[in-house]
Amino acid sequence: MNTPGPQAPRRMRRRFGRGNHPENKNIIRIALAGNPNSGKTSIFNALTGQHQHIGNYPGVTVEKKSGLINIDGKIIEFIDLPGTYSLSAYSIEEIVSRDFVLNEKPDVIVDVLDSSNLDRHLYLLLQFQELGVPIVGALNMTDEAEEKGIHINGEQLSTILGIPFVKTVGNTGAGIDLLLDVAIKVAGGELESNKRHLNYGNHVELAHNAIIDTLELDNKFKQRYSMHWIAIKLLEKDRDAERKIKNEHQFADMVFSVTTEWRQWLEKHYSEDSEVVIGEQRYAYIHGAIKETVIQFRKRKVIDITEQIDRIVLNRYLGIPIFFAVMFVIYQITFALGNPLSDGISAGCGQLSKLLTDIMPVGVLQDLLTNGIINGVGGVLTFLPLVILLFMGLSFLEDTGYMSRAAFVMDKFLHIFGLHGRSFIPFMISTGCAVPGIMSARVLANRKDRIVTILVSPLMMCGAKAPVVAMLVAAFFPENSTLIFWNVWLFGWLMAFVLALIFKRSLFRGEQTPFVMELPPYRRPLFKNVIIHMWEKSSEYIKKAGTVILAASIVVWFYFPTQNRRRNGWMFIEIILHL
Amino acid sequence: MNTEILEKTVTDLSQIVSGKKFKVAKITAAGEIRRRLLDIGFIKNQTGCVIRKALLKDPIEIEIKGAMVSLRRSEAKLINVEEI
Repeated sequence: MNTPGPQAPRRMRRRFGRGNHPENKNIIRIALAGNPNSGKTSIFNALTGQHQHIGNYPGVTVEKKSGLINIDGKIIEFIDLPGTYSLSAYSIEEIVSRDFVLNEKPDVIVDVLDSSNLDRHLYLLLQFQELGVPIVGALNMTDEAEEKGIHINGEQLSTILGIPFVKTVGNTGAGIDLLLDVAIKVAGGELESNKRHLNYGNHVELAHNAIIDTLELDNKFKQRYSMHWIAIKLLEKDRDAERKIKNEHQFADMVFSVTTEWRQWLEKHYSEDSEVVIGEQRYAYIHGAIKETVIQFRKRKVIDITEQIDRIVLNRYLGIPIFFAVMFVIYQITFALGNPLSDGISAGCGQLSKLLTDIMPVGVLQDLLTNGIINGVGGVLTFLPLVILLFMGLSFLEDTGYMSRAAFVMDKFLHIFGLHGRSFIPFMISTGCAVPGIMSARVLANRKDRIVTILVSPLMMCGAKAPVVAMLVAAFFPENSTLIFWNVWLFGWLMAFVLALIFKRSLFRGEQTPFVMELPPYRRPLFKNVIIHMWEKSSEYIKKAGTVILAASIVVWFYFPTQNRRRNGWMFIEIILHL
Repeated sequence: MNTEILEKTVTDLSQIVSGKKFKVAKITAAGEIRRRLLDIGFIKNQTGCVIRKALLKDPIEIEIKGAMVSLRRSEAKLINVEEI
């Protein structure tokens, strides 16, 4: 499930390969970066429209979206980098982002910023700038900022930071054309970007320059990376940068001893860890830039709409009932609407099989088509309505900003079992059906949380298990079958939590992943974005599940030639799928 | 009475009650948690406000650098602050 489609990487590489040649500048590669909640997805959708391709970054489960468009004979490829707050080496998304920039060297990075939250968003932009690739800033959601009385002098910000900025509103498409135009100009070298870099203050700069001098002793290494970036990362004790030195630098020992010396010097001077010093200096620099370019006309309204809603939604006592009510609606939409559609597809496949049996001569081919292929493809398609409706609901929750609130409300309870607040969503969906339940584990950002949630979700009693259990219970405990049935139901939940705890304590032990997250302002979701998201997930499901299940059904058909044995084989496959 | 003003009471963030403002003194966390706190804006002398706490006082919603963030109680304990 984690590997990209067989053709994708080859096609990509060819594209990238061509883009790298200086004489062939027909393809411009633009990487899209930005914090979570910066409106990056809206900008990406506005730039690429329907021409999107989804895969994974090589070797990891981080989703990679890209899109190709053609403007005046120029082919432009957009690569969507994962949304992160920073570029440290702690999370796989951050490592993927920076490795992409370092290794693939896109022509330009477009960093999307929330205009009403500029300092935190510039914090990421400046870290991208350090990687040494030209960059353009999109001051997004300027309408929202103006409403709050925040005015940004874009030109002056450009002058101070040495980066072109364009004001945009992703939802309406305002400023998108200009953004693209500026990005193309920067990529082509017509417009300058990255003339200077962040100043970390005299003391850090001293340490930083001394490390650069040592780094530059290795000529090959010097050409491969931005020395400025490596030096800062070494001062930050970045594990990934240290590994790069260890493996690739000719004088690694010398670099390390110089780095340690300067780190100690800094720590003595600031009486603070060097990683903290760098972070604080970064924010201090941003603070300076913002003071000169951002005017806040009036103070924020005493209580804004988000706070008004949160007073109810995050209320200590109302929060949990509201969460269950929201989940009930999502559940009802998915299953009450989806199940009849699933049954329809199932019946349709049965009809098709029957038709083929009638018109085709009895033989191997007929048997393969009806019992192998239609059976298998039908098995995938019956889940499709559930997947489509579920992702419509989840995308709605994510885009409005409620998803983070759900995590906030449920976290205390789930954290007891080592799970994350968001794990409850896959659990709830799994009581309807484990297939969409497991797919909804995407709402979890952390890999460990996601795997543990996936592992225990199928323990919940689902719509398909319930009738079987009910039948068995009725057969074995005719007197008090209802009570026993509910006990079995509860036992499923109990086992899920107990096993989650065991998994967290054994297989997925290790450092606690931080819960630290933003509760974004409530926003009206964009219909277009919800539809695109729904379409992406559904087509991904068909591609991934479709190929596996089709292959499996042909294998089963092949190895279990008689009707009886085939039935056993299917049961086996179904068991595997349910696990 | 004067001593109350002079005495800067350094406590951890989990001790601050809802509605009160604070100023960050030092992050005592290490590793990834320290980095995340730093990235989201918990830097020295930064002011913020505790907005609300969930049931059982965990997690905690905090306004910092113009945005709402949510922290577990265990994470808030790793931030030394001054009540202001």
